[in-house]
Amino acid sequence: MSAPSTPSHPAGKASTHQLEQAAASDASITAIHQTLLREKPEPTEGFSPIPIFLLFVFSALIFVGGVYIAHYAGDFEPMAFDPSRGKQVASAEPAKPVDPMVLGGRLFNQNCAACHQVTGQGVPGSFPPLAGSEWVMGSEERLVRILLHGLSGPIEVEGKTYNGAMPAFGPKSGYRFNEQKIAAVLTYVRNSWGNTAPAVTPEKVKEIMAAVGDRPGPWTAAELDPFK
Amino acid sequence: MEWFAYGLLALIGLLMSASAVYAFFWAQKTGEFRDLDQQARSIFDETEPEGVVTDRFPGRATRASARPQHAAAASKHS
Amino acid sequence: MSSAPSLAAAIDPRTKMPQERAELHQIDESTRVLALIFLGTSAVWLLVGTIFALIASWKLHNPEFLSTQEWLTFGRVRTAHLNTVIYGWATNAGIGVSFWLMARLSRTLLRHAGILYVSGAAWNLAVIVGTFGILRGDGQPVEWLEFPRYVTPLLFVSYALIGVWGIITFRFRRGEHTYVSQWYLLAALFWFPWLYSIAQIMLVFAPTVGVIQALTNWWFAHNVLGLWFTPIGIAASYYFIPKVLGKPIHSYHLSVVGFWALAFFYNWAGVHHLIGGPIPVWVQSAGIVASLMMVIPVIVTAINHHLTVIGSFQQVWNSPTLRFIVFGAMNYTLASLLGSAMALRSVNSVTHFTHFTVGHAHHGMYSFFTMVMFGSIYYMLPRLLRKEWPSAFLINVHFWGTAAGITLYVVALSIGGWIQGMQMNDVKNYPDFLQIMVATKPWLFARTIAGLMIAVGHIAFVVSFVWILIKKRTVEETSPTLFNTPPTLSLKTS
Ligand code: HEC
Repeated sequence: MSAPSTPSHPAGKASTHQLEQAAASDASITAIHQTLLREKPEPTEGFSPIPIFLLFVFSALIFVGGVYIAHYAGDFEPMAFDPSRGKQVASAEPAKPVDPMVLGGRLFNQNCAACHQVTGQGVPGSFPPLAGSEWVMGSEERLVRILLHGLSGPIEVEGKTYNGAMPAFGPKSGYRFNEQKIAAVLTYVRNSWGNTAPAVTPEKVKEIMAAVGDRPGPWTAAELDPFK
Repeated sequence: MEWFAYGLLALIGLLMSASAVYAFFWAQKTGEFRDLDQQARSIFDETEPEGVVTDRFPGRATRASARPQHAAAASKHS
Repeated sequence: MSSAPSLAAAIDPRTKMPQERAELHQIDESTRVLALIFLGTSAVWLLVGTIFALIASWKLHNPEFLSTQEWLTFGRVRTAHLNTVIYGWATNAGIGVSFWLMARLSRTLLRHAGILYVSGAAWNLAVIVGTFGILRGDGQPVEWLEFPRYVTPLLFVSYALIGVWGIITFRFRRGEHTYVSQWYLLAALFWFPWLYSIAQIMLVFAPTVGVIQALTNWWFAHNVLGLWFTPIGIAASYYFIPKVLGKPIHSYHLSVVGFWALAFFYNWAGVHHLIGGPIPVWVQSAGIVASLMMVIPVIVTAINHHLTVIGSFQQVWNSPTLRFIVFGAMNYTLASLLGSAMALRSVNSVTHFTHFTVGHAHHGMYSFFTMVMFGSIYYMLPRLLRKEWPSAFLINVHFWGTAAGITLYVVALSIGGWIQGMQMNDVKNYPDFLQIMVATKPWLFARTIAGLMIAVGHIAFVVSFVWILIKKRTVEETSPTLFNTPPTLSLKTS
């Protein structure tokens, strides 16, 4: 920005004024004076760079950002979705075995509790209880089959009759439970709310899956009788 | 068709980035980054000069903020 | 004034623009009709959006409310709320303010504004039809882009015209300097059509497959806030704070750094809506880092806004404009820093999918942007109409209703959302879905109360708005410089 256009110093007036003065006094002093006058606003305001502490903050941020990307970039693999990928490669820790009670608890709360309730008590008249049920603590052959393909038609649980439809959870159903999930959720229901029965193993589930094969619809109570 | 769409999108993306880079250098060249503290005053002029408050609640002109605070408090409340 | 250069000359890049500097009151006059169209429609949309908001909010704690009305089911009302406030209120207000600012800062009259009237009408027509379409059930299942596909081309064309006109106005500028607000406005005018067209193509007209849709969706939705509304809001704050106080901003140098940092980082940040999703982990990490880097422009802007204001609180209090804008600027700082924190994986795993996010979105869109727009309108309308605001009382009701309301809103949803997130992640006790829902209820109820307070503020605002439009001009108010140098208002008090 050049001096003449600065509004606070109307160029025309100032310079004629200065010129008149120049005739009466020392020309060089006036010239310096005029320069000073013109530059007056600038030295005080000047150029204010970024405060030094901000520069530190910003550099630190950028540094942290760089480290973060390097750490969590999954080697820039398009197929890597897990932020901890790449870190575990070196240590090659054996995967922790899954506790079926923990996995089963989660599966139960997400998938079964809507009908059988978190307490396993069911809803009188509509959904049979799992707590204390002879179906739950009875033969695992029967129990696994119910879960794989569902159950419908009248059944009797703890002396009361129910007639509803229990959905299928097997690998071919909408829920796609594999043998590990089925084993976990059944182990959980067999050992909660006062129930006690041996755990169901994934191997056993797999065996039953193979034995049953494909099935078009849910079981009825009568069909399951042989597996008591 | 799909690749055509992706190509087009990539092209637009490139153009956008290029325009940003261009704007930056244009600003550099035309002196937008020079003399910055003077530029901060470019919003003031003779009709709305620096040092004058230009907004107030309607009907509050006499209790103007510009006055020293104690004076404003001492004056009658209109 | 000299006759306006022809349209062709305006678009021709070889034309030099020999313009004398226009007086501010002439500029205000040239933008009057345009600004009134956009600001007036925005005020109407504000009311409409508020009604939808209240219905939706009520439904969240009393789901049976209006649940038999197909047109007013939650999915449609909430969507209608979002789209009316984004495209109806915020965009219209943003455009009105942008043009006025752009013309003033470029020191030039607004030229050939007729075409803008047409595109403004088209834009609003599209929003009306679009909202109607959403209520009818024609909405697109893409967040922030729910307007049915039969209106989006109209929206795009009318917006493109508006954007181009902003840039042409800038081309007519009278030399000197490009003020930082102009940088923000220009960028916003450039960015929005880019965002909108790409999102439309990739999501609606030639939809991409799989997770790329989700990525595009959040790239768009977050950038509408970050690259369209935020720049306008910041531009307005950078203009009005120093302008009203009559002192230049604290550090102009920093403001320039802030602009380029925003331009550089924001674009990436939207991915933080998809943390933990099935998208390549490096993309997520890049999004997180970009969100973190946003701290840089935010701190810079914060320093400028807040340090300029420090020592002048009395003036802020006495100016309706600054009350709103300083409130907005403070919340910009807060909301942005919180937003950066929310992008961190550890925090995000709690806040994601909860009401916390909803609270945060309103923190940005309302506490910051909307409040800044209110402030701008309080400055602009008296100058456009050459009348005083009719009632200080209404302005006070507006300010307290909205400021207290939105603060309650954000606080309630943040606390409620955090509790909700902690419960959802509670792998020890597995609280069931219903328990978690019930726990959020009091907070959702507080949200409705907040909504009612805000609604009262909005009504006061609209009443003021209509009143100033229809009231008669008093004798003292005829001078164009009335507001510039009221005799009692000199700051030179020794
Ligand atoms: C849609 C509701 C529903 C869901 C979800 C559901 N069930 Fe059932 N379940 C029923 C009904 C209804 C019956 C009774 C079926 C009949 O009447 O033939 C039943 C029966 C049973 C039975 C045999 C009767 C008893 O009470 O012991 C078992 C065991 C069982 N369900 C376990 C489960 C498990 C484990 C899950 C989760 C993986 C589950 N159910 C999910 C509705 C459901």
